[in-house]
This record gives sequence, C-alpha cells and structure tokens, in this order.
Amino acid sequence: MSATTEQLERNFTHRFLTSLRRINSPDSKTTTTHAAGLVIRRRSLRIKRAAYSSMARAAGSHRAWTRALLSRARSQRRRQQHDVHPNYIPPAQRRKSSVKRAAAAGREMGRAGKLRGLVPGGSRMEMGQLLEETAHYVQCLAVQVRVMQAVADHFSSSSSM
Amino acid sequence: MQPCSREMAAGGLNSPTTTTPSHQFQLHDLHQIHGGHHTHHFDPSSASADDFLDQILSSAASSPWSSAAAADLIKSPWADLAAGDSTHDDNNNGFFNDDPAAINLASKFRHHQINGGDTNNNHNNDNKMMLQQQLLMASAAAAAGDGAPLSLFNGFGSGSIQPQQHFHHPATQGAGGGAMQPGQSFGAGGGQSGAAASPGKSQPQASGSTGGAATASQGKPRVRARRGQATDPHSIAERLRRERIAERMKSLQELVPNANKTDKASMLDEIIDYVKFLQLQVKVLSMSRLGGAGAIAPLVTNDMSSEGGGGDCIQANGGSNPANGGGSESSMTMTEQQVAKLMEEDMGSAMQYLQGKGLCLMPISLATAISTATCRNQPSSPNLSVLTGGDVAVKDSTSATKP
Repeated sequence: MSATTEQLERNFTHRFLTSLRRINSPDSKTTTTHAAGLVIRRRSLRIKRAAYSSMARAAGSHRAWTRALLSRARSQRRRQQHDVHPNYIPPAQRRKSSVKRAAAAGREMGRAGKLRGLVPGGSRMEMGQLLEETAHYVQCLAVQVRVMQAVADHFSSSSSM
Repeated sequence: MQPCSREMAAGGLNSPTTTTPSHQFQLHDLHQIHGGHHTHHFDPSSASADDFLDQILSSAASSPWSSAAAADLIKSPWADLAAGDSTHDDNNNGFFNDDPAAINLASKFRHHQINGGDTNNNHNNDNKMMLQQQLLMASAAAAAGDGAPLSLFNGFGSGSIQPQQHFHHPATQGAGGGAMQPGQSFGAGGGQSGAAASPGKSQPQASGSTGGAATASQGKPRVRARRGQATDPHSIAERLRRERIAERMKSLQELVPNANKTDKASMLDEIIDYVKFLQLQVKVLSMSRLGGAGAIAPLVTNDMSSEGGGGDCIQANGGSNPANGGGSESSMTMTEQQVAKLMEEDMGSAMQYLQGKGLCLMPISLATAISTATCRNQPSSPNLSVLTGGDVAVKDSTSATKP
C-alpha cells in the first residue's frame, strides 16, 4: 500500500468512527414510534451517508467528485431538515436540475452515460476528466470498503464475545 | 453465536488460520481497554484512540480475505453454511433484496478480493513495464541505445508520462541516425508504435521529421503528423484527446480486476460493473453496522426507562459478557430475557438489539426447516438449533416469545 493510500485510510477511519459514534450514542430517534424495520433502515442509510461523506472529506476537495458528493450531501441534509417526511422529494427540484442532468447523461452513448451516473459529479465532466476521476474514485471506494469491513468485523465479534 | 463459529472455523475449516487467532486476540485486548472505560461514551478515549485506529487498520490489513464475506452476503444465505468463508457474515441477509445483477457482480469480483488484488497494483505495473521493455529492446536493435527506452515510455504511457516526452524523443532518434522512427508514434496505444509501419516510409520523411524534431526540441509544441494524416489543429487536438483517454484507460485497467480486455467498450463495462459492485458493498456493509444496538439492552437490565444513557452502558454489557462467555447457553438465556423485555416496550429496539448480536427473529416453521436442512450438511450439530454457520442464528426461544 502506498503512503498516500495509508494516509487516506487513516483519515477516513478516524472520520468514519467519529460519525459512527455520533450516530450510535445520542439516539433521539429511537424514542419516536416507528416500525421496527424502518428504524434499522433509517440507521443504515445514515451510516451509508456518513461513510460517503467522511470518505469525501478524507480524500480532499481538490477532486471534482468529492466536491460533487459533498454538495449533494449538503442539499440532501437541507431537504431532510425542512421536509416532514424525509423520503419526500419536492417535485420542483426534481424537475429542474436532476432530471435534466440524468437525461443528458443517459442520452450520451450508453456506457459513458452509465459511468457518469455512477461517479458523483460525472455528468459535468468530459471524457478524459471522467476517467481520471473514476480512477481516484475507485481507489477511495476500495479503501472505504476495506475499512468498513474491518469495523464491521470488529463490532460483530466484540458485541458477541 | 459468533464466537463459537469463529472457534470452529479456526479449528480447521478456514484456510487463513494464522490471521484469525491474532484477530481475536487483538479484539480481546481492545475489549479490556474498553472494559475499564465504561463510564465514558463508547469512545476510544484520546489516549487509546490511536490504539483503536491501529487495531482496526491492522485487522484491515491482515485480513483482506474477509472482505469476501461482504460479497458472500449477496449470495443465498443458506448456500454457504458449510463453507468456511461464511463465518464472517452478519445476519443482514434478511434486509437484502435478492437481485440477480448484484449476485453477478459479487461472483465476478469475489475472487479478486480473496486474493487481496488491490495491493498488487504496483507489482503489476512494474512487471508490465519490464516485459514490454524487453520486447521493444529486442525489436529496436538498430536504434540508438538511449533512444529505445524512451520509445517504449512513449508507447505505453501510464499516468506519469508527460506529453513533452513525445516531442523530445524524435530529437534523440533523429540524432541517432533516423533509421528507425518509432518515436513518431507519439504514445499511440501499446504495440502500435510506428516501429513496424514507419521504417519503410520513413526515408522521405526523415529529413522532414528531423526538421520538425529540431523545432520540437526547441520547446515549441509543434506536432509532426504521421504520413497520411491531416495536420490541421482540430484533428491534432482530437488525437491528443484520444491519447489522453487511452492513457487514463490504461491506469484504470490496473485498478480494476479482470482488466485483460483489449476492447475499450468492454473495458468500460468492466469499470462500470466494478464501481457498481463497490457501491453495493458499501450499502451492504452499512446495513451490518453494529455498536449501537448494544446500547439499548443494558438499559432494560438496569431498569432504566430513558434511553439517553445508551452510550454509557455499552461497555457494561460488553464487559460482563466475557464472564458468561464460557457457555453459549447461559448468554443465550440472558439474550432471550433481554429481548423479551425489549419486545414489551418497543419492537424497534428489540430488532436493533438482535441485529447487534447477529441474530434474527423468524417463524418456528422456518427455523425447523433450516435446522433440518443444515443437519444434513454438518455432522456436528448438538447446538444446531442455536447456531448455524455464524451468518444466521436460529433462536429456540422464538417458540416461547413469538406473539
């Protein structure tokens, strides 16, 4: 593992564990009455978002995909705080930007369009930059998966010991 | 329960046995650290924060094969009970919608993760360069000695290659006598360097190219085109763009496993699949995230009504467990009681507690079906009704507590 990958891993692990702690301990959500499955699902969504955000912050903002991911997370959080039902997406916003961008990415020749849809911020980049960002994104995703797996292993073994 | 399955696995089912005991030992260590800090929130206190990080990172580094477990989650949960790999699975199969596309992705990339393929990147890079260097050395015998290495760097541009090298190269080649003009390839994708094509046609171009090379060596980015190609700026820019893209594809090829595709389209497909697979793994792993569920249970045993003190009590639960750890039945009874108490209050917290333990609640008919199915596979099944392979544990108490 190269030095930058190790540094990235440490950075991400630190941030991710911090946000995990925040999600786990002061859980005010559990006092509200929700269906059992929904509580778990909500929590897993929060963890997923926390993982992506901490990875984006750890990777640094000189990458286009990290900026796009963080801005997407920010707008999601704002929408969540304002809406009554978190899964509700205001129709105006949906119509304006995201559909147009998704359609543009889909209109592009099949595979490149798919890749743009997968990589955050991909619809704005042209091909060369898209490939470069994809390479870095794949690297960071691999680190993220490795760390999350280790954390899951640690928790699953320590909680049942 | 998880510890029993791990010990069974370490006993002989699993191949990487060397890592598992150390893994457990480290976690046990960590456990004792936390046992003393149970007054804090679940927080590696600042003194042991680095230790905690180290534990996580070392376990991440030492067990790359365990990430295969995440891929296993996507497969049918009952299929891998006999396999050693499944001992690391959590019980989040219930939450995962069976998706044939996801299963394909998992099976495609699983072997790569088992080999810890990501760490082989640098080696692959060097090997490739060495191999191709030797190939071109053999073919470019007539070229000047210092020109040949440059030519192959030219032909196989990885991410670190600067475009200026393309222009410096013709200068050295021209100086070397101009018999071979492989440098004129300007970084066209591997093996297609003009070494084969240009010698025959290079004679009339030799003077022109050396002239162009002279200007190029003075630092002006004037590209000399191959014979038969237009020299207008649009196509040059187009060509440069295509070369950039080819470069990036090559660097991507090293990151993504199964990257032996020569076709750009299938390479893109592979990249897309790999990204989808990684994102799927993140989703699955986030479903299995534990550590919070344990907070709720001790509140019940301590007779606390509010759930605000959850963070404090996790380690109390964790610390007391080793005392019961000797027999799986005793901790199971305690678990059952706690689940029963939780279910009276709030189904959600009960489910979370179960998830934290790696257990699930299921109808009796399903439980008996599973136990009879696994009875056939595993000869040793005294506790089969309690434990199966580690990824799903069937609780006998469901018969008592099922509403």
